[in-house]
Amino acid sequence: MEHAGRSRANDAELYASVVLFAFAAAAGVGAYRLGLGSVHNPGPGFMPFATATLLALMALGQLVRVVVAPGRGSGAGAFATSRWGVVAIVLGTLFGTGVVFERAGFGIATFLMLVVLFGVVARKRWWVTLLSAALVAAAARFLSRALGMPLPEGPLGL
Amino acid sequence: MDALHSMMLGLGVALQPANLFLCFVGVFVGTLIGVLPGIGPVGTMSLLLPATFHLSPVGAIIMLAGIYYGAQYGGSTTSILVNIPGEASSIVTALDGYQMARKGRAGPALGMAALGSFVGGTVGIVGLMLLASPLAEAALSFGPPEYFALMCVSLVVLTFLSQGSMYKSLMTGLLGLLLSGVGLDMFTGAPRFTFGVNELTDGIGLIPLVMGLFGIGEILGNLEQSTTRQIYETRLGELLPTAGDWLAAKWSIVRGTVIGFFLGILPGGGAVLSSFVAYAVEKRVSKYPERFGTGVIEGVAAPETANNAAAQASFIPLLSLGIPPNVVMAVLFGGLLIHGITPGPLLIQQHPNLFWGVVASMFVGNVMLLALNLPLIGIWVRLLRVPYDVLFPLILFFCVVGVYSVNNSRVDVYLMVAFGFVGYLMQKLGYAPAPLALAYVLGPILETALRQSLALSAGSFAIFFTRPIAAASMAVMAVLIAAQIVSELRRHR
Amino acid sequence: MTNTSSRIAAVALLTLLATAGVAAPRAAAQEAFPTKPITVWIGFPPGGATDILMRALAEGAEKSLGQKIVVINKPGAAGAVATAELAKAKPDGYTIICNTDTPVTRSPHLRDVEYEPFRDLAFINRVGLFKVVFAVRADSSHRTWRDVVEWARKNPGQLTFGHPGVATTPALVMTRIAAKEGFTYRNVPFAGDGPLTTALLGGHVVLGGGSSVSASSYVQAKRMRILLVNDRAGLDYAADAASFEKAGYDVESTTSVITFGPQGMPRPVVDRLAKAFNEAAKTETFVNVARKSEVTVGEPLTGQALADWLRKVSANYEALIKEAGLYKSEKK
Repeated sequence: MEHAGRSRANDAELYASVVLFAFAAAAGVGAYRLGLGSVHNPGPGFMPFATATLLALMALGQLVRVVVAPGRGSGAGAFATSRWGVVAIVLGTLFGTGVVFERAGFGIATFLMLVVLFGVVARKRWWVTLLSAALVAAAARFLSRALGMPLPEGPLGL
Repeated sequence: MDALHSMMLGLGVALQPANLFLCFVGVFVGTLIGVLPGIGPVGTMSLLLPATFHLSPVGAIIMLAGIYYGAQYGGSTTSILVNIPGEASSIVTALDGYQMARKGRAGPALGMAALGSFVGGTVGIVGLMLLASPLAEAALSFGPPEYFALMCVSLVVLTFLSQGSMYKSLMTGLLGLLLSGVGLDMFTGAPRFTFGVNELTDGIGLIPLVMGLFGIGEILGNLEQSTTRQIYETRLGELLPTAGDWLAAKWSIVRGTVIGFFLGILPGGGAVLSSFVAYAVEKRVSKYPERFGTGVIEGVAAPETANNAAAQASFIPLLSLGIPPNVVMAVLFGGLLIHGITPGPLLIQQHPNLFWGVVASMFVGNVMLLALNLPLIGIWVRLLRVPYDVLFPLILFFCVVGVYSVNNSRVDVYLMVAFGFVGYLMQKLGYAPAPLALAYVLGPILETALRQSLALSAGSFAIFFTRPIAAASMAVMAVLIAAQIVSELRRHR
Repeated sequence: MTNTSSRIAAVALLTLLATAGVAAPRAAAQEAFPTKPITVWIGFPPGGATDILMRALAEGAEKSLGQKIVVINKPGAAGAVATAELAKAKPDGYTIICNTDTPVTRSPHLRDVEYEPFRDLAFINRVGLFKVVFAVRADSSHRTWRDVVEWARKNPGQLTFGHPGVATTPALVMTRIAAKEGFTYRNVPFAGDGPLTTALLGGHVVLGGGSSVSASSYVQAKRMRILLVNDRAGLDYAADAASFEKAGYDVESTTSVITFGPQGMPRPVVDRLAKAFNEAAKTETFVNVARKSEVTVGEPLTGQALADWLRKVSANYEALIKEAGLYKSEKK
């Protein structure tokens, strides 16, 4: 089946190739600045530079292929089914948990994390959410103390 | 036979009630630790190290060793159930193991993993008993040029692993190589790509990378379907591998054991190498290579057998020569020192009780592990029937706690989140994560070996071709590449 | 009273109360230190020499302090990563680190680190000193250190020398020795003592310089011959090994294990900890572990005296690092 012009699948491929190329190029520049040394006496930047260059070339090759022969993409509309909201909330929650982990203590941090995940993403009823989150966090706190694992205790000793 | 005599001596030590108990504690804790993502045997062993002060040396080592190979059994559990490799050597198990779980065959996958581990572990112990000395000496002949050549071959083999586009696998592999360069340069002490972040001075860390890429990435992908959909099909009644499974996997187990044992002796990366080489070999010799990655039993049997054989083999450099080949063995090294035993070439001679006691306890331990893990399969399978919208927050919870507890570092959590996002994108775009993770592990070994070799030879590349093992490996690599090109050409004919 | 004066009085009163509020708990803490478990970080993975030393020490110190000691490993850059974090920790004496002196005396010269060792850290005590040895394989044609030097002079740039890392004592010391003796060599770094020993035993490098931790077992097994050691007392299991002193090398080769914490720890707290550790160093557990790890305990060195000594060591290493061409400003 012929695709006339760019389909959404190819858009995704295109962006991926561009991002990869940009990343590899940046890495290559950074590696170059570290000092390449010589082939016989490689410096700290040698391997990263070689790797980055290869990657950049391959990304470029893929880019060219997608533009020139748009018929062959990787699956139809790669991101069509993506729920970016969910992705953002989950990743954001995990990140936030990391931020407060030490200051609020492991118990509270994970409690909050579970509240968001159960309540917002999984859309459980509020009391189910609070109860399960509290249970898990408490159980984990208890177990970690019992096993002697040094997890941070927040201001409330949790 | 001398070995038999020594085994009797060893069993006499290992079967003492105190040592039996310690063995059980070790393997039990090890399994638990292996199952929990993030926390690994090293952390646990160090936690228990002070407790071992007051144990007998044999008892202490038996317990610590049990934690290590017990964790190998547990590590495959999370790989199979939730696509989160517990150890670097379980990364490859996730490829087919998780797919089997998705298809409702988690039981057979877990069972095959346990049984393969048992076979690999047991044969590994026999190898350790009979071949420790000669193999240790043989391993010594692997110097930097040999390692470089071996890594070259490995990277080529890596690209055979994944389903889908080899071009993309190569790219992800290169990405992994690139990421492995983050940290301090070993040769000049210069920081590379650390951007002034203190925690990156030692590199990104395998655990955050793997947990993000495999675990979080997978969860994000699954959450696309509404959270009430079943992610795992369930088929009760199939808790163990079927006769058909055994028929298919029997040679995989044999091959895995051999590959695992011999590669596992090599200090540094032995276990990881053995697992994916075993997998790649299976794929190569299989009649249906295109099915690998969709949930084939051989894809679980081979790496699991290999990594347990390798785990046993990794005791060889420590016990025969006093050289710890990896971080875990280093803890055992410390444990021995604490108890007044200097590990070295004379260990076996001077402390036969210790050596043979520990070896015998490994047999006992592997049996215990089988007895522990097989009944657990029923529980794990039932766990998978929990609705996904309850399951995934719990998985994420374990991920966060697990990754934090490795280094008590928040930065690790952030890294995991970042790689979670990357893993999600990769999944959507058809880039396999396994080559990235594996290249990340092998990259430093490759670069170090290259620069060390050139330092040894004062810049001459001839060193790779004049030393027999290195030259042979380079030849193997050339053959592999040629064979791959030929088969690619044939396919497009 | 006028508004202004009552305001001033209020401010004065509040300030008084505030300072009292701040000072009182601190005074109380000093009296009672420690009132809760103490966390000791170790900048190395578990099982290493520093690690087991501290754990052995912790056992004895716990009795003396009356509180548990929790040991946490925070590996990374030979302790520099942990040190950077420690410099920001609360200086109440409950978070300290036991490490080699590398982050204090060497890391700052190799690259820009987030802390200033003598401004941000408070030193508690010195636990012990490691020995550094130079060895060849037992079947090597070099029987003494002079043999090595002579051979290296006659064969410039041919001697392969392996060491456990560019900033380690053997690596740095070798630059000075080679300069003094007038030979050049091939410098091959390894990722620690383990890989170095493998390479040496396998014959991939001719000469190896590393810590002496398990050297005795290799000498006993006749796999290695130790040619040079930095301890003036020599080695009892390798009587032919020359000492730096005898060979005429006056070069900094300290590799010590020290305990320290963030700057600002109250004097009594530091003294209490130092006393506890020094006492713990006399316990049987520690003495055995120290002996097995070939660690010399030496004179107790605490607080300011320790800081002064470290300053000296650091200056010496700065010079060595510059000679080795590894100084931070010379790298891109």
